[in-house]
Amino acid sequence: MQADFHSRDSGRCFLKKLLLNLIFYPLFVAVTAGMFGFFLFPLLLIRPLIGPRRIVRIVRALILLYGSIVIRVLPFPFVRIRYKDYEKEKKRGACVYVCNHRSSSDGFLMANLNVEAVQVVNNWPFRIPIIGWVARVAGYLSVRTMAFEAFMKESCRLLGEGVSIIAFPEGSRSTDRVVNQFNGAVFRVAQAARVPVVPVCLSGNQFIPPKGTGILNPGLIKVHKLPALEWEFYKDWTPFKLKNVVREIIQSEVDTLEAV
Amino acid sequence: MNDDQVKKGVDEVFEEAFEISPDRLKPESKIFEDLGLDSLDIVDLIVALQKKFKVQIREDERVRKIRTLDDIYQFIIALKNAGGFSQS
Repeated sequence: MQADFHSRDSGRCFLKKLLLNLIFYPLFVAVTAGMFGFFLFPLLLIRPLIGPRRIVRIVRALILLYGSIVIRVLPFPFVRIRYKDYEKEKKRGACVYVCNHRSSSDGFLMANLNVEAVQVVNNWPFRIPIIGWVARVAGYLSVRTMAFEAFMKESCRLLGEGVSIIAFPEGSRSTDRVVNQFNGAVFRVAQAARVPVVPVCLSGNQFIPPKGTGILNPGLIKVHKLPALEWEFYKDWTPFKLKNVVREIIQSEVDTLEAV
Repeated sequence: MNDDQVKKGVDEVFEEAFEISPDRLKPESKIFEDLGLDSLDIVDLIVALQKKFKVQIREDERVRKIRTLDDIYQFIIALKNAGGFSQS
């Protein structure tokens, strides 16, 4: 009897997974091509008329819209997102958002933050057709190809213009609950630009999709935007201390969310 | 300055510059994975070591091979044996 329940349950799970992947990927390709064809390409054609700065802002706004569609609409109802903002009432200017790295869907999930931002990425996202090209237009920063001085200068310029920076300082995805050691570059930027550091915790998307595969699993993804560390609070810390305190905050949230 | 004093001095650098507690400072501790330093922290570490031991540390093959805390001990000890240095 119990074995019968189990096999029926796993059959249902398999069916959900199959449906999710069969529905998501064709729609993903269609939406990506549609966003490019209907919005981005025409925008680039009229670029000389409205100026490069406005174009970049519009492209970033479109990335937010695109990310929201990809994470909230396309995989629904198989994948659900629960977003929690610990500072709901507070309006903030440009910040450095620091997030743990769980899956290739992390970048899309940052649409939840709903801010004009530039992501710090490795080289590989730039190589994805359309997405990589749009990331370049939006001014995304390639941490692998830029010298630290150039990275610092460009990041401070963006923050000064009111554009937030989103980074995944683990570099590569953690394969378990342990948040990997952080690279300190983005924390040095926050200190130099005197902006708040906002820890963001992701949980649940380590299976959506799991590392090494593109197969999506149904599930619940939690995105928690945690209270910011203000510059006045951390200004006397070393970058080493700052990155480790932020890492501990995120680790503690992961432990809470994924407690067995 | 003997080898033990050098090791103690290196530990003090980690405690003062990075606020790493002494119980984490084991010779086999990996600098990147266990102690959490990154390439930018290494620059800060070199500056702190130069100040502590009053030596010039240039980026050479030996520096690039450093992985553990013990590698740093041995590197500084080798510097001391090669040219000697004084501690304030």
